[in-house]
Amino acid sequence: MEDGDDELIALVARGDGAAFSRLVGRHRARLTGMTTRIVGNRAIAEEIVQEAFTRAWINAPKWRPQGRGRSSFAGWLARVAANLAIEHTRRARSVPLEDAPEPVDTTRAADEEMIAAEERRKLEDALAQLPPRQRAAIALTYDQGLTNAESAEAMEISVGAFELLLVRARRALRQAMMEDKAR
Amino acid sequence: MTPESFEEFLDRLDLYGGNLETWPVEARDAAQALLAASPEARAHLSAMRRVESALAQTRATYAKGVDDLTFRVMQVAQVRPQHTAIRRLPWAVAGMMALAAGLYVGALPRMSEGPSEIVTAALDQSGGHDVW
Repeated sequence: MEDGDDELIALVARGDGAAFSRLVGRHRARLTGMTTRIVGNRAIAEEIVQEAFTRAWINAPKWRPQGRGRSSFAGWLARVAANLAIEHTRRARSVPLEDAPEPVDTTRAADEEMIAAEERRKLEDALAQLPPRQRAAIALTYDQGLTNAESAEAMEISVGAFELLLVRARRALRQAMMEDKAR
Repeated sequence: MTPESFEEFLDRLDLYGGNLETWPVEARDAAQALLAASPEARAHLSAMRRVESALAQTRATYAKGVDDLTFRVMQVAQVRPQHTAIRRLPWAVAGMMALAAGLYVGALPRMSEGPSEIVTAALDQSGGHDVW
C-alpha cells in the first residue's frame, strides 16, 4: 500500500532522501501548476516550488501528523507556495507566461484545437488582469484541488473571505469569456 | 423567473462553478428551471464551463516537464540542514549557560554605590578638590 504523506514526512524527518524524493514526485506537478497560474511565469514558479520543498525538508522534523485542527501536508505546501507566489507577484510586475509546449492531441480536429488554443489564450489574458490573491484563489481551487476551507487555511483568511475572492475571480473570468464572445 | 432570481443564479454560478452536480440540491433545481427558460442564463453557464475547461487544459500544460524539479530539490536538500533537536542542542546549552551566568551575577554581593574608602581618603587629603 502507498505510504501517506504523514508516513513519508516521518521518514523525511529522519533524513530519508528517498522518502523526500517520493514526496516531491507526488506533489510537484500540481504545485507547479498552481504556482505558475499565480505568477504567470514557469521559471519563477519552479524556483518558488523548489523553495517550498526546501522548507518542507528543513522543517520536516517539526511536522506533526494530520489531526483535528491540523492542516494536511498538501495544504501546508500549498500555503507556502501560494504565499511566496503572491509575495513575488506583488513585488515584481508579472511577466507573461512563456510559450509552453501545447499538449498534442491527435484525435482532435485541427479547427477544434485552434478554438481550444484561442480559449486558453483568452483565459490567460483574463487571469493576468486579476489581482494576485484572486489568481491564487483560482489556482488553489482548480490546480491544487483544495476545498474552500483548505484554500482559506492556505491563504490564512476566513472561508467567507476566500469565497469572496473566488466569486470575484470567477465572475471576472466568466465576463471576459462573455465579452469576447459578444465581439 | 424574476430578474432577482437571474442575479441569484449568477451569484451561485460564481460561488459554486459551472458543474451543477456540485451545487446544493435546492439551488440546482432552481438553476435548472431558469436554464430551461433563459438563453442568457445558458450563455453564462456556457461561459463558466469554457473558463473551467480552459483551466483544465492549461493545468495539463503547466504540469508538464517537472521531472528534473525533483533532482534540483534533492540537490538543495543535500546541503540544507534540517531543524532537528540535536541541531538545536548547542543553542539550548548556550541559553542555559547564559541563564546560569545571569543568576550567578545577580547573586553576587551588591557593589557599594558611594565612593570607596580610598577615594574618600584621597578627597579628604586634597581638601575636597577634584583630583581627577
